[in-house]
Amino acid sequence: MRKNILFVCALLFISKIAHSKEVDNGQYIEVGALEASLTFGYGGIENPIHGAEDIVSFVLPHLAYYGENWYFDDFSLGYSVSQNRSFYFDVVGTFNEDGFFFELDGIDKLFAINGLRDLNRPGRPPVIPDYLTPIERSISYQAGFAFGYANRGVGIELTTLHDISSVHNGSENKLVVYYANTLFGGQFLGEAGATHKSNELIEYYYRIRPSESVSRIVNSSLGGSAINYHLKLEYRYPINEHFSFMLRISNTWIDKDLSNTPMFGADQYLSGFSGITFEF
Amino acid sequence: MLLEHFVALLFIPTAVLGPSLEVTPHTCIYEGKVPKCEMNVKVTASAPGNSSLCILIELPEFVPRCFNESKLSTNYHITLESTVNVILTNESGNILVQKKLVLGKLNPKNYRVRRRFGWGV
Repeated sequence: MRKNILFVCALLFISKIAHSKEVDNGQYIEVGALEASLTFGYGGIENPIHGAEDIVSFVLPHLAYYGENWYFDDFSLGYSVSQNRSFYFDVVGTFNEDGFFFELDGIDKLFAINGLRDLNRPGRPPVIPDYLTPIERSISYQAGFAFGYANRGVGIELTTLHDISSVHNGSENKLVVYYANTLFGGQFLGEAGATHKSNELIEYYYRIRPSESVSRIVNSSLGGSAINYHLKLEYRYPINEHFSFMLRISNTWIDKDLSNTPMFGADQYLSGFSGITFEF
Repeated sequence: MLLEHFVALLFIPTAVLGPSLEVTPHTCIYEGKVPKCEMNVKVTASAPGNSSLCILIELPEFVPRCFNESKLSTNYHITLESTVNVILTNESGNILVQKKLVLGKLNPKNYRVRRRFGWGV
């Protein structure tokens, strides 16, 4: 998948088409307008879990609505306690991404993301001895606060979230810095971020239970929290009122202490999507 | 032949074209909660075949302003609290043509910063 995304990335930039249509930088969204789109193309998530298949999709839906205070943006839900043109302080909720590596059966139907996914669970041995249980983890939903500042294409956002679905009772803190601007007649976004995951979250998702492995080594604790880093690039080039080219690519570097554990087969993972977006 | 045709068009008597009335600008935009707006407007009119023309703006403070010509151009300073008509009449008071002076509310689109914390592909 990595090759495919990089290929499309290169293709789009090599074949960039000059045009003079004015576009905004995508940093803002109109209040009261429903933003709904379907992107047809190719993309997904490299699954860093040992032995797990990548998650691949050919369709990427998007739905967002920002009212005066309430908003939803795909899986995220929020209410702005305080905001102006640049600052905001929100009460928010969103899914934790770690759960998606293990369990996509519910969500993938909504997001049509299971096109080529292997039916085996991550980490499950090819032949399961009677005393072993398959590795199963649930998706968790988190809620907390988001504080952000945005001005002239530059933005910073700090989010602190806690599990409210009683899946792991852990927390996650995310810091994102981004730059949005117009480029070659399209919208460009560059984003860098760090995500701190609490010990409870790490233990739940990535510690292999005694019943899940024949090895006794994996029974030990993972030893604390973890910080993942990511870089994300996004480019959207409008073709006309309803159609646009879209390329989104993100790479996440997993905390070394975490990626060195038996659950992981890689120390980083790529995700992204490229295709043609139809906006309703 | 073709050239003569187009040149001849330039000499079509204006009487054939009928009365005209132009009001510029024709829209006044107010900001805030009170629907009130002030502006200067220029009214230009012509009605070939009429010896005098009158302009009536449907506002209480305006009385008809009449001109002993078949063409006129005049300026007004108006205060709009609603959309009103500007009416061109002949000497008999018959309405020849009328245009609207529109009162509009400034309603700029409101924008919010797009949030980034959500997870997705």
